[in-house]
Amino acid sequence: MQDSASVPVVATEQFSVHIWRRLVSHRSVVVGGLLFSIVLAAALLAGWVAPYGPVDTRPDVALQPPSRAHLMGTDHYGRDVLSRVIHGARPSLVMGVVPMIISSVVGTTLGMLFGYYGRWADLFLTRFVDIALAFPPILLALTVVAVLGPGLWSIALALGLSGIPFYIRMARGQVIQAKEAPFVQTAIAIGAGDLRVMFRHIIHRVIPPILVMMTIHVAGAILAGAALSFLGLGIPPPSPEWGTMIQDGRQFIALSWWMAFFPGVALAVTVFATNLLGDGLRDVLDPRSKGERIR
Amino acid sequence: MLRYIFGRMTLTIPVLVGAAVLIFLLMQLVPGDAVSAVMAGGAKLSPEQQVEMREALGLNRPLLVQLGDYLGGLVQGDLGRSTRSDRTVLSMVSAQISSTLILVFAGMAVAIIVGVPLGVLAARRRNSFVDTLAMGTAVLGLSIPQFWFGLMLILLFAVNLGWFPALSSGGFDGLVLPAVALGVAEAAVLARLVRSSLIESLEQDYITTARAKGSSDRRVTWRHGLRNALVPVITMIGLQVGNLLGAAVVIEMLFARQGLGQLVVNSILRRDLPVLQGSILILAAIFVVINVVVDILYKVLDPRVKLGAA
Repeated sequence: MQDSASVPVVATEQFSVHIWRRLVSHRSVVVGGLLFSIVLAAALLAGWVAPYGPVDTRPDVALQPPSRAHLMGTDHYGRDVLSRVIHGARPSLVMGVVPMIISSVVGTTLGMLFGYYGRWADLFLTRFVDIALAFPPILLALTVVAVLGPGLWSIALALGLSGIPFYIRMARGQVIQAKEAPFVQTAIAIGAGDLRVMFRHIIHRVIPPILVMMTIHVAGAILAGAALSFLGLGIPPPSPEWGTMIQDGRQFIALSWWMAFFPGVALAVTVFATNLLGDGLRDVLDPRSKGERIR
Repeated sequence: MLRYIFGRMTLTIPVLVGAAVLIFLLMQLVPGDAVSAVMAGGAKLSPEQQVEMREALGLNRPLLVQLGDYLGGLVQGDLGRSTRSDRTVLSMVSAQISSTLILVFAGMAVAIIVGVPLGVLAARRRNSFVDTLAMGTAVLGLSIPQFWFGLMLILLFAVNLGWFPALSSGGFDGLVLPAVALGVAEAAVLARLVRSSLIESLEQDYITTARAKGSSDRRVTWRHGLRNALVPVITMIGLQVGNLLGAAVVIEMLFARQGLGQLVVNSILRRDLPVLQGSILILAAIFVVINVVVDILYKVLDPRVKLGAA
């Protein structure tokens, strides 16, 4: 038993080293990773890098265009836009990453279990997925936010719930295909238990497309979260959040474009970085997929 | 063919019923009920009046009975009544629906007009500078928040150049900016899909045959290659309608345009649940119906498709 178990482990290690080499030499992954690290650093070090406090109001310098003192100008309360953009990275990353974790963990587990065990429960689940997918994801999230009340965490939870069906469908499809593969049938014939078959053999087929989906989901969730905040369902003021800042800037668009412009650039850069990472991952891990996006 | 269309339409019934049940149950989770919503709106009701109103609205009955009533009403076209005004949800929704549909179709048109040629261009000059540029633009298009892009369009074309109105009050002029803002992200999705799908189909044997017959490069690409490449693209367009319906909600708010988006967001802010429930359900129904149409189109394009296979 010891021997037979150690062989695939060695193989997996070599395989992962191989994958890693291809990832770090992939242009999209490098550029995306670099940009994403900058955003992550901004989120983690906001208190140290931001030149001003994100909620420090100074009415005497309200609505000033970009200058040396305020690189991205100031808003209608005289707050420094650059400092707010830097601090705004935090809620955006929360709105991107938390939903991804919720949907991928719940959706993949359900999809794998039901795909593997099949029968009536699977039929019920696929019907449920069909129904949930009848709602455009952002509308489902909007409805859940209406139920939970506005706020950062209800947006994160809402986006997490609305993403689950996509993972269920993906994981289930992979499991059903993998179950028929000769190596899995062999494992079953040798007498491997269900858990061993699922988590030792089938999971290798499930993980690559799910990883790609997770990365691209982060991009979609950041955009959807910002859109919900833009609609006034996010963090209450004065906390800095990119979507809310764009909404504030909308009222002053004719007067001071910088209020809405810079938070949007920050959003686009963050999402661009995540999309690049997702594309690179897909090229390396799952080259044949067409890639549906969760939005 | 008729049998296929009929069969495909029957398949949507359980989905629509399920969607109605799901949205009904979600609404039950909202803290407070219609009566507390009316009171939050400023109406002063004595405890007796509250009891009476709950009785009249049937809020005291078991959940299943209420659900049955709701579904029964739906079949007769009764979506309930707004708690904030005396209007029926159906009349409110139907007053807004055409504006949203026009926006969604205009956005889709922008996506197709921009996305398909971009994808074909990238596929024909595969791995060239043009290809890299086109696909780079596409990833960028996917990453730009639509509402921000719309706002920048307002800044440039309404505030600075004055070519189009900043607020969309209807009419063609007011439709241009919102449609472009809405369509750009989907154009990016289409461009990428058209590229990968066209590259795949240009590698097929029948393409080599067509070339050997002496067909021009242009004819091979557009007529032979694209026709087959379009099959997955059509499916994607159906799925994109969902994204467009969702994004239209945000874009309508940005341009202060009439439509279901306004209705949805305002009903959330005013906690007018019947209106929210009705509009979300109608949006889901539109999405489902459009996907049936897409499936039928798919069948026309690719006669090999069987019911339930796609």
